[in-house]
Amino acid sequence: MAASWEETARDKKNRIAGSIPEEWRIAAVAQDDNVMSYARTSGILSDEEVAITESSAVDLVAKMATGQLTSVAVTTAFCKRAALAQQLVGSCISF
Amino acid sequence: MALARAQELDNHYKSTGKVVGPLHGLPISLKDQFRVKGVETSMGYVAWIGKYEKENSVLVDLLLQAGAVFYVKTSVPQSLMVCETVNNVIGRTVNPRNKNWSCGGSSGGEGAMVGFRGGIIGVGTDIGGSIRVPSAFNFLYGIRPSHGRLPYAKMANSMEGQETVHSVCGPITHSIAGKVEPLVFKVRIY
Repeated sequence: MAASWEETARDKKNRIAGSIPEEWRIAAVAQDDNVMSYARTSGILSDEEVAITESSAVDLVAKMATGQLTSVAVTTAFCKRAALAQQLVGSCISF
Repeated sequence: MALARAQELDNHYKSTGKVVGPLHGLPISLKDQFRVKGVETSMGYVAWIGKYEKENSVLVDLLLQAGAVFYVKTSVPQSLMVCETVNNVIGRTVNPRNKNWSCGGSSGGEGAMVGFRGGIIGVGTDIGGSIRVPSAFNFLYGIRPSHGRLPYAKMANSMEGQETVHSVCGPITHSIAGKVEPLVFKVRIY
C-alpha cells in the first residue's frame, strides 16, 4: 500500500533535517521573535564567513574573479547560513 | 552537490585563470518551482515528492552557464497561489525579523532566506505579487519583469497551458546593483 500523505511529508521533512550536517545544527531553537542577529552570535559561522554572507553580490563576484576568494569558501558560508535559516524560520524545501 | 560544483568552478579558475561567466562561483537560491536535474520539485504539493527531475528549466541552464552554484530550493505555499508561505510538506515559513509575521509569498522561502542573508540572490516567480510581496515583507529589492523577459520554459506550474495570466521569473536581492546583474547577464547570453 502506498504511504499516506502524512508519512510522505514526514519522510521529506526528515530528509531535509538530515541533510544539515551535525556541526551546523542548533541545539535549542532561539526563543526570540527576531532572529536576524542569530548568524553572528551562533558561533557556527566564522567571522570571515559572516563577512562573506553580508557583503554584496557584486563584491563577491569581483573577489572570486580575481582569486581573492574561492567559490568553495563562499558556498560553504551561504550553506551554513541557509542551514540556520532553515532551522529558525523553515525556509528550505530541498538542499 | 553545491560544494562539488563550487570546487569544479575553483578548479576551472585555477587551471585557466578565467571565470566561467559573470556569476562565477556565486551561490543562488531557487524557488521550489525551478526544475533542477536530479532534484525534486514539490511546489508545496506532497503528491510531487519523490519525483526527481530529468532536466533543468531553461533559466537554470542559463544561470549555470553564467557560473552560478545552486545550494538550496526554498519553500513555497502549496500551488503558489497565496501571498504567504505554508504547505503540507514542511509547514509554515516565517519572517526572520519577527517570527510572528509572515515572510510573504509565494516566493516567501526566498524572501526569508535572502532576508536572513542565507542567500545573496534568490530567483522567484510572480503573477500577482509573489516576488514583490516577500521582497517588501523582508526589506529587499525585487523586480517582476515584463512577461517573457526572463525565460520561463520548462518551469513547473500548477496550471500548465494556462495562457491568460502569465507568471514571470525575477530576482530578489539585497541591493539594486546585485539585482541588475542577473538581468544583465541574460542580455549578454541572448
